[in-house]
Amino acid sequence: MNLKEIKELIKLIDSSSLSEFHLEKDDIKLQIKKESTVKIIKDEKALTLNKEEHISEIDALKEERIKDKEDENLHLVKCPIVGVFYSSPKPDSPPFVKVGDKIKKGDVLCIVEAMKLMNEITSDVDGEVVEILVENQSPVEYGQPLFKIRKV
Amino acid sequence: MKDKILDILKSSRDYVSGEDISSSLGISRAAVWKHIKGLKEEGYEIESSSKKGYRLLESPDVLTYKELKNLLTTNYIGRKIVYLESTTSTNDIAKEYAEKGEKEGLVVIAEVQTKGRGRMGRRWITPGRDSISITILLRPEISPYMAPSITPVLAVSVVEMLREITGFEIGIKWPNDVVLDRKKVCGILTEMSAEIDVVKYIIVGIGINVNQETFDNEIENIATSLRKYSGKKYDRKAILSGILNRFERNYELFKKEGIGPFIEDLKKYSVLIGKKVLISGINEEYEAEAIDIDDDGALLVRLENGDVKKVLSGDVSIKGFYGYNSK
Repeated sequence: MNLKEIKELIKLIDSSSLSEFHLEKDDIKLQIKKESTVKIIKDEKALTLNKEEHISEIDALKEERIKDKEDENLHLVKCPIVGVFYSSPKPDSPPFVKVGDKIKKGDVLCIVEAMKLMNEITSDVDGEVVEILVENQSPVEYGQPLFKIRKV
Repeated sequence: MKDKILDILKSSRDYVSGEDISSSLGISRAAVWKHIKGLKEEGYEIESSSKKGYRLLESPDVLTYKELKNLLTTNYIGRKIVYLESTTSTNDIAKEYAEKGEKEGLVVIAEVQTKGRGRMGRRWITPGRDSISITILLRPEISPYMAPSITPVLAVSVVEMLREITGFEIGIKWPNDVVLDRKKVCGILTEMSAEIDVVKYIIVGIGINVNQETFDNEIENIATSLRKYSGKKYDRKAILSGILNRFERNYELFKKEGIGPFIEDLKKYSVLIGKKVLISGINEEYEAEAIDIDDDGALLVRLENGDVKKVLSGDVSIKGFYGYNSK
C-alpha cells in the first residue's frame, strides 16, 4: 500500500459518512478517524447540556403547572356592591369566618353595607379560608376580592 | 269553608240567614254554626239572631290574608302571607323561606317580634297589635349593585301612603327611616343575599309605629307613632295594604328604570337636605351640610372645606332629630 493509495482512501472516507476506518493488511495497520467525529462528540456534549437545560425548563413548567393547579383550587370571593365591609354580624360579636376555617357553599362570609342594605356575602364553594383580603369596617369596591378560599 | 262564610258575612252589611249560608255553600246549618263559632274564637264579632241569622259586627284587628285580601290590588306582593302571632324576627323567617326557594312576593307578618332587629343587631321593638312588622321577599333580576336603591324606593312608597292616609308631614331621613315630628315612625331594614353577579334574594323588613300610645324611656326621644302624634287610632289593615299596593307599582317601575324616577321624590321628602348633619362613620365622625341626593340615591354632603362627598354608609344625625343635639 503506497502513499497514494492511502491518500485515495482518506479522500474516500472523508467523503463518506464513515467516522472511523480500520484496515489491517499484511504488515500495515491503518486507522483513520474523522475529525468531524470529534466535532460530533462535541456537539453531542452540547446536546447533553441542552438536554439538561431542557430538563430544568421542563421541571419549571411542571412546577408552574402544579402552581396553576393550586391556583385553580384557590377561589376568590368578590364583592358585588360598593359599600363597607363587616366581618361580623354585630360590632361586638365574633367574625363570621377566620383564616383556617372550613366553610361550606352558602355559608355567610361577611356583610357589605351600602345605604343601609346589609348584603350577606355567601361562599359559592366548599373550602377553607386561606386569606381575608379586606380589613373589618373598610370601604370596598365592586368586584374587589374579599376572600381567598382553597376549594376542597 | 270558614273563610267562605266570612266572605259571605263581609259582603253583606245586614243579617244573613243560616239557611242562606248553608244552601249557598252546600253544608248543613249545624256546620255553619260550628264555623261561625270558630270565627268568633278568632276574634270576629258576629251577632247571631235565631230569626234573622248572622251579622258581622267587627273584624279583629289582625293582619291575616283573610283580612287583607279584599284591600290588596297587587299581583304578587302579599298574595302569600305568613301570619304569626309571635316570632323572633320577620326577616329571619322570610330568610328561611327564601333559602327554601319561596317565590317573590311572600310577606311575613308578626304581631310580636321577640328579636326584632335593626341595623348592626340593634333592637326593634314590636309590641303586639299596635304596630306593623312585616318582611317582603323579593327576587329581582337586577345587578347586585342596584339593590341598595330598593330601600329608598320602599321609603318613598311608605311616605306616600302614610301622607295620603294621615295628611301629616312625613319625611325620609336618608336612607332608611321615615320620620314624623322629628322622630322615627318607620324603619326599614333591607338584607340581601348575593354573589358577584346574581341577587339570590332580597328581604325588606318594615316596622311601622301605628297605634302605640307610649314608648319606653329608652326610645321615647327617638320613636313616635301615628297615634302618639295625633291621639287618633289608625287602621293597620288600610295602611299595610296601601303600602303593599303602592310598593308593588314602584318596584315594577324600579326594575325597569332604576332609581331615576324616584330621585325627585327622595329630594322632596328628604328631611336632611339643607341641614347641618353629623355623619358617624365607622372610623370617623364629621360634620357637614346635606346638600343633595345624587342619581344613585346616595346622599351628598358638603364638608367644612367645601369638598362634596358622597355618603354611602354610616349614621346621619341631624340636630333636633332623635334627641340629638349638636354643639
